[in-house]
Amino acid sequence: MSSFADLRAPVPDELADELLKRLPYVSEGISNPRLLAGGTRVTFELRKGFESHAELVAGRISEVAVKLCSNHRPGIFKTLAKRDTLPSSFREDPHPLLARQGEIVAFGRGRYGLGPKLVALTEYFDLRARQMAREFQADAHSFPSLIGADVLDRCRYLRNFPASLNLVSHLREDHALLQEFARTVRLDGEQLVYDRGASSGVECLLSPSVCFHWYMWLRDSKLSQPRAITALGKCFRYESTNLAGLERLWDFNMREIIFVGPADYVLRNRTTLVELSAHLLDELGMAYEITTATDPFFVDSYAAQSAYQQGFELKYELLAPLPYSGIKLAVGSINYHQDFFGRSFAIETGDGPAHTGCIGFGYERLALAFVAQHGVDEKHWPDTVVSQL
Amino acid sequence: MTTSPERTTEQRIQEAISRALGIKTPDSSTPLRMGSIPGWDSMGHMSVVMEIEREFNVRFPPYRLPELVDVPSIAKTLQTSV
Repeated sequence: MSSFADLRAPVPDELADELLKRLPYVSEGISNPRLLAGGTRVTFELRKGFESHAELVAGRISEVAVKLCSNHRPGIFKTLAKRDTLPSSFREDPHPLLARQGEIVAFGRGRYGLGPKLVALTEYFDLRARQMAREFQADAHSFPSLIGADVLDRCRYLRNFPASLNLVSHLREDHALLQEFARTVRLDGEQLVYDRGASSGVECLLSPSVCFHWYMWLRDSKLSQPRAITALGKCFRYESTNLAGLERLWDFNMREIIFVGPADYVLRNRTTLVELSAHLLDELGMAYEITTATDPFFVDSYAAQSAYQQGFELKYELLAPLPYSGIKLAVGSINYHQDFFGRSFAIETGDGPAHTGCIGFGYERLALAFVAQHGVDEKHWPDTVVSQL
Repeated sequence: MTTSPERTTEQRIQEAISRALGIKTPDSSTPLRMGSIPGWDSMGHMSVVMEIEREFNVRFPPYRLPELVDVPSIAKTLQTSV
């Protein structure tokens, strides 16, 4: 049976997706939330076991809508580069085709394996990204998938993106607890069933991004010269029921090129990154847009943080249209953090706290957008790509 | 632009900035500028902006936010926003 929440004020069209993306997090019991025309009512269903929670869930939906919309500042998103023409007439959803070819397998929500053709494609993307990194004399680095809770606390990630965190724990060092766990643990079909008291506290999380490691590496230091590095890393962002195919993964690969130095150094490189990214997407024969954007901040601080990010033009996204759905998928982003990480990690330059910036390419998304636009048959892919696979 | 015979626009801006950042209102010779006083960094900027908006009952669009970096620039932006 469907329930509904009446909102205190209409949700503006430009915030409709932001609201819907946040509704899976209002309660474990909610499913299929929909914002009705006019933006003043959300309908939803309740999972088994949560049938009596309709009023509670409706209240939370209303609260989220108020927080999202109060202090909202309508803005204009700028386009820095674009190419409108799709490279082919292919319009199918490539997921089932790739699955039939043995090129993708879903292990679970947000967890996909890739086959040889898509691996070759992502390796080609990485080759091009590393060539891009060389333009900045960026040194290669490697970081762990685990990241300390202290790092994410230091840069306020814990507070700004709590819904996407992936906490890591292990069993406590206690022989009796380990014996009891080994004796009683079982799988209920989806999750482990065990005594939660046997779990440790959280010292580490799965890293949501690559660049935080580098800022931690440079903590409490004074740079004698600007630094550029590059690293490929596994990244993890929990997105609840928003997880969808290769479009939105829980566990994905991201190549970053990261800059730390004075503001003019970072901003100059950001301009170059826009040009090089556009060139790369042109070379891949893809339709795309590079536009200003905002991050999906936690709803309690969304209005202020997104307005700041938009006003100062701190984030650009590389968007590629998916012909099968009409959605513009972010396959990468270029971020300027001003001196936020320089202050957070006490990284100094001669001019004060270091400024930082980075570009990140999400390889699974880029691969999806590529095959969605060109088709899954490599005979129809650009020669520049095929010749390098 | 002055709405009170006792307090100039600049004084009201200074007081709003002080409230937003939780600092003592400085005298007019102390430069209040983003990045040069404790708390007025990227995190504190929106607190300053929202306190200015409450004081003057205005709402700045995002593209105006980078202009609001000190008392004279805020006063100037207010003149063009009201």
